[in-house]
Amino acid sequence: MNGGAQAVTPRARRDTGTWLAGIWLALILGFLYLPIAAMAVMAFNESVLYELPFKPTTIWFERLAENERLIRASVNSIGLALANTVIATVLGTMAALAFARYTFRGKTLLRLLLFPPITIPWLIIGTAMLVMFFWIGIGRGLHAMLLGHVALSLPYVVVVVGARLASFGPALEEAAATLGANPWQTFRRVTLPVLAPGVVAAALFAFAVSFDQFVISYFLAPPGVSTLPVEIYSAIRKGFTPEVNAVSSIIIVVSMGVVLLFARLYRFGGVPSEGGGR
Amino acid sequence: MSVVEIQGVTKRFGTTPALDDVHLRIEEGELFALLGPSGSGKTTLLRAIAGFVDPEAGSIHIDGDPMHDLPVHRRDIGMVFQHYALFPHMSVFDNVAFGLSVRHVARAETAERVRAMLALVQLDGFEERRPGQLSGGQQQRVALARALVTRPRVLLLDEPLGALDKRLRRQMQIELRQIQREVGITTVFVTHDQEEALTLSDRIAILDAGRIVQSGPPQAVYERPRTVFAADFLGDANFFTGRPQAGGRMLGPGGKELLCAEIPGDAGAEVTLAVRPEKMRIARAGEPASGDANHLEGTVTGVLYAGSTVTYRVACGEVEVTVLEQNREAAPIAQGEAVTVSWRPDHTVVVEP
Repeated sequence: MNGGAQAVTPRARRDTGTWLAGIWLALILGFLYLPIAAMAVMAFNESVLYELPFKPTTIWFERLAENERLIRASVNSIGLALANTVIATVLGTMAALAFARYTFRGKTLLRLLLFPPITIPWLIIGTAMLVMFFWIGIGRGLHAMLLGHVALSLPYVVVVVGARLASFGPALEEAAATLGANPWQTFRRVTLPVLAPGVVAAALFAFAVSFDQFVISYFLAPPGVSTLPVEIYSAIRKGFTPEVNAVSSIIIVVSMGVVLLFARLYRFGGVPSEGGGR
Repeated sequence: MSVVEIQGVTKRFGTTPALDDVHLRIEEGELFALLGPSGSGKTTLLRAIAGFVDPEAGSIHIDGDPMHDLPVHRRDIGMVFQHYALFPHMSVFDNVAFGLSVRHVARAETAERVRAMLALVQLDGFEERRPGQLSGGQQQRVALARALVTRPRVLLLDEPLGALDKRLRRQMQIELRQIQREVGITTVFVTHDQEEALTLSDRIAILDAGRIVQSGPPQAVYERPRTVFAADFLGDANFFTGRPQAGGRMLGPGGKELLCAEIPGDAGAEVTLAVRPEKMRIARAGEPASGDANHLEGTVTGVLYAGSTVTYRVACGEVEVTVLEQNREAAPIAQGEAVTVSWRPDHTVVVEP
């Protein structure tokens, strides 16, 4: 009798715990996604002033297609992000290889110096770059923005690729060398394929860092040139129109797509030799 | 097929010498074991032959060709790594074919040689598997096939069986030896497992602190160890230290005379004798002893029963002796019993300290 009562109590407590955890999770997810959902819904609402009832329309997307400022900003953003991805991924992968496979003077110091750019506020880095670029004559413009973005995303690439490199050590490359592969054959046929998931992940990081970048772009953009985040910011300041909702909704769909793609790649490539099949 | 000559090779990591003036000649078709504790320099020596370690002094020749300044990929060697280092993104076939593919061997010939090699290591039918889908023993075979398919001049094995469990290890030792004989390739292998070195190799070198302590056929090194370290590292040994007397005698524990023909006649400094535990015999006091010339009285202080054998610890005065007996008696001698330990003078070896 006593035992029966004891058996019920912990179970009831566990149920309450699960229930509370569920609410907690729902609150967090709601906090994260409700604003985004509201924005996406409003992108399809006819009223400029967000008035309800909801009247479905695609007018804001049509307006967006005619908004040359936003389109030009989008082209800038995408072009910049792509160029940044290529440059930062190549340079960062090379740097990660050097850190992982070679010993040289000042290696520890250099590795330490990689991390502050991740933690220093972008506002400060942006100011510093603006001053520096003016001083040495680089000035402002897309080229300056690209330089800034590459500098910002490099540490992320080095860290992500470095983590992948650390997971397999030099033995594979040594084995390739004993089999007669020269350094280039070793890199192309062994190091790079094994490293690929890390490189892809790093490239996605580099793309995201550049595409989301507001502060640096804002500082380094000359008048008349802007990127999507900068353009959205000025649109909000001038007077909010649901076109911004529309463009943001598109960005969200694309970002989610990238995240899903990344998850797929990482699951299939992240575990050596299809370990999932075991 | 090839001769490896190592002359005066020296390598330091920081201030500690990893290799200290190593001389070694590995003959054609020989299976040569480098044996030593960790940090003895055995792996460094193997990696110096492979080209991963640059010696500061000395030279390495394969078939008379100097290896100095020749990068790893041009040394024409095959190597099996401790954890196999199979390429995880390639099939078994592509792993084995890798060495041929970087040499631009024709496709048809590659296929033929890879299949022949996989047949040799008994892995036919595994061509399309990934390394991750193979057991440890199978991975080991793939690694061996991959290393041999290019017909290298020398095969280097870095603790090749270290990652396998004991039973599989035994089986692979036998197979490895068979394959090595069949291919006839000069082979150097590193191990810290003395039994593996004894059973597998034609000759052994024992390394300690970057130096070769002793080298020779397994039996010679085991039966006639030259130093205390060699005697102790390769198998177990009992040591007796004392003043030599004339006529091949030494004053052992309790002033007892021990005989050994090797003891130098000139009664100089102390000498150390080594005797293997399995060369000793044990008998209860009062029962007839073996009649061997060397004998000591003592008391059993420990009995380690291991099924086929029994190991006794016997206190003989100030020294403790280990005796390994076949388990022939109905009942092992018990702890505390008084016994006589005896052995033959020709089973006694003088060793350097």
